[in-house]
Amino acid sequence: MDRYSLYAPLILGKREFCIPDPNEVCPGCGAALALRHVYKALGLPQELKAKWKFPAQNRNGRGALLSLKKGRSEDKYPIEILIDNEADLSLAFLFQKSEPETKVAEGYAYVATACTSYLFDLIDKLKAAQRAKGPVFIHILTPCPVGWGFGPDLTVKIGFWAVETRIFPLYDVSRGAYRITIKTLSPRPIVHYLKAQERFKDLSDREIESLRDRVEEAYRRLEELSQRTEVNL
Amino acid sequence: MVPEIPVGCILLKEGRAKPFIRGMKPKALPEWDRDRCIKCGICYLFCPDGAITKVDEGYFDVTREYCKGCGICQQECWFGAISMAEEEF
Repeated sequence: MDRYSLYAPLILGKREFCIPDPNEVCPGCGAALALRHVYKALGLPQELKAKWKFPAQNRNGRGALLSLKKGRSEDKYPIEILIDNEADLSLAFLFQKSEPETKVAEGYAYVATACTSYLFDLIDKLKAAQRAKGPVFIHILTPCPVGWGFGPDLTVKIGFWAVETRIFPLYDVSRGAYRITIKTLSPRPIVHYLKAQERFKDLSDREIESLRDRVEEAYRRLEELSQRTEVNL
Repeated sequence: MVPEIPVGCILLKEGRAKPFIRGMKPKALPEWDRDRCIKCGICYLFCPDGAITKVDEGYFDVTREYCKGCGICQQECWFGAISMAEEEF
């Protein structure tokens, strides 16, 4: 983000591709915002062979998996995009092996996490995905006002808080080299993120404490990985 | 591409009313205070429905047919130039 000035939105493409149809999503939908920018960065949806996989067919049962085939025939690798609205309404993903990690283990050429609030970061990662020679996986966190229980005007704010509290760190892995793209030097207390949503209103203080430890541990592990793999480059 | 509505509003083709523009009536629509707006385009960037477009002199405005009144633009505007005005029907 620091490479862009304040007026950066003005240099984006002017063409709009709203898929799904804007009439079919709720007000303040994060997934619609994500898809609008995915198609803006990658091009016309008709040229890309889009294939949807819905939560029931997905491995973790979270979000919807969109796999796009790049235009030309010689590069046959699909771009897999997980539009993740945390449909199970829990923080269970903190306690299991995350989707990007499994994809790195499977040997994907480019794996990244992104969030709808950091749109230039998302666009950067999509451009990198287009350049990558090999299968690509991008995990996008898209806040869902109706499911999570917050006002539709807070969609973008909630996304910012998810990253600032280190619950959903943004990083990318190109050929095994980790890089944290949005660094949170002074993290926000995770209570801000949890208490803004109705789905977490019953959490007790002790549970929040243990969650915070878990989040810190995961982030420390990520930092370690990024330092270790940077040396190898 | 909105098709013409036939006499009596009878849909001759079976199926949904998808091609007709408005699906949802917003409670409120954004309004720009042009003294405060610096034309940065943050509202255009974060609109999920792509309803905000550039108009004369680089200012921004909303397409009434597509806006659902979610209020993200008002929340994200750095200078508080946007206010949500109640729609009257």
